[in-house]
Amino acid sequence: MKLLLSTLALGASMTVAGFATAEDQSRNHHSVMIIEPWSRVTAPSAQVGGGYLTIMNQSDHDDVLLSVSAQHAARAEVHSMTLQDDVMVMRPIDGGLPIPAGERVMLAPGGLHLMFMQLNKPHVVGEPFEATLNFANAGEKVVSFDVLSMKDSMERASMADGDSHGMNHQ
Amino acid sequence: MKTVRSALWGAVALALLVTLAIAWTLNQSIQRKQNSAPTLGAPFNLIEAETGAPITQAAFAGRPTALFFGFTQCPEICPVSLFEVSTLMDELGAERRDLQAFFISVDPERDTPEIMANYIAPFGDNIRGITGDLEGITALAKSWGVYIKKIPLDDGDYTVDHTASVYLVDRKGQFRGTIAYRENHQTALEKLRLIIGF
Repeated sequence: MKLLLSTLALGASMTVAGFATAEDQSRNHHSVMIIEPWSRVTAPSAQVGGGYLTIMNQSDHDDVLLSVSAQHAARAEVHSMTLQDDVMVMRPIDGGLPIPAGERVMLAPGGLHLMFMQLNKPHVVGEPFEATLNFANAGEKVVSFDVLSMKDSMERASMADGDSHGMNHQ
Repeated sequence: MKTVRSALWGAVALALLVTLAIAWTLNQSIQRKQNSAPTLGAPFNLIEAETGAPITQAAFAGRPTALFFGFTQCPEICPVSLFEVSTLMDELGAERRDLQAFFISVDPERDTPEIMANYIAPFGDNIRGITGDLEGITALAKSWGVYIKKIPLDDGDYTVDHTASVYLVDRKGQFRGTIAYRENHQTALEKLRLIIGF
């Protein structure tokens, strides 16, 4: 089943790694759905890598993304990134990332992201990696992240901006 | 009546004089701006990442240069900027002439020459890395008006806030502007052509 799911996820252009959660929905009132998890290729020796996804809280309870872990990284955190007067400011989100009931929270280039640190394996194009997201209500979700090339990641970032030029490449 | 008239004419003359003076001052300051682009930067003595050899301000002399600051523990802006600058340089083709680019570490304590070189290598050989001692890097950044601040985090780790733009310098060493993070690709290309042309 798990193999089937990963094959489906790989084959779909828009990866929805929340299939299991969607199935569980009827019996689980605390469900979150994970949409389009992806990452950017890293240098073979890179120590950090980013991760992006949209988290949709389908329940009527607020939830919190408490922590993230992955086998290929000694540490993983949720970070915010902003440009303030042209200065890049990146900070860990303390106390977890709130996912309000019925809302979707986007982790996308230019803003919130998962930060995989002290990598013991780089992010390689076409080799998805797994990470476990731990939610206060929804519990643990294992998510598979697609790894995109620099070029594809730039296009994905433009799409996230709603930029019409980027959308053309869909 | 005559006195009033003279006083009025006096006031008109004064107003005219003041207007002329303002116009002259404005004109002077505009001319100054047009004649000389600012020269940024100061002499430095740091390490070129790829060779491990010393590198000084002489590396920038006589060549149009794009330079930007960043660090290897940076998941988005730094790799995206490296990719963008390298792609732009490839796209210029023959127009590129002697345009060069440098990626300067704002985190020299962790970014050894080897770590820098390995981080930049996947983006091709268009961009060279510069690292070195913290004092030298701090002085260099300051001379370019680049903001660097080391921010300690709760877990004992740290991050570095830093200016994200790419600085553009012509072959005379004059600062000609910046390319902002994720600036329109065509605009960025034009800006590079501009510094190559000077």
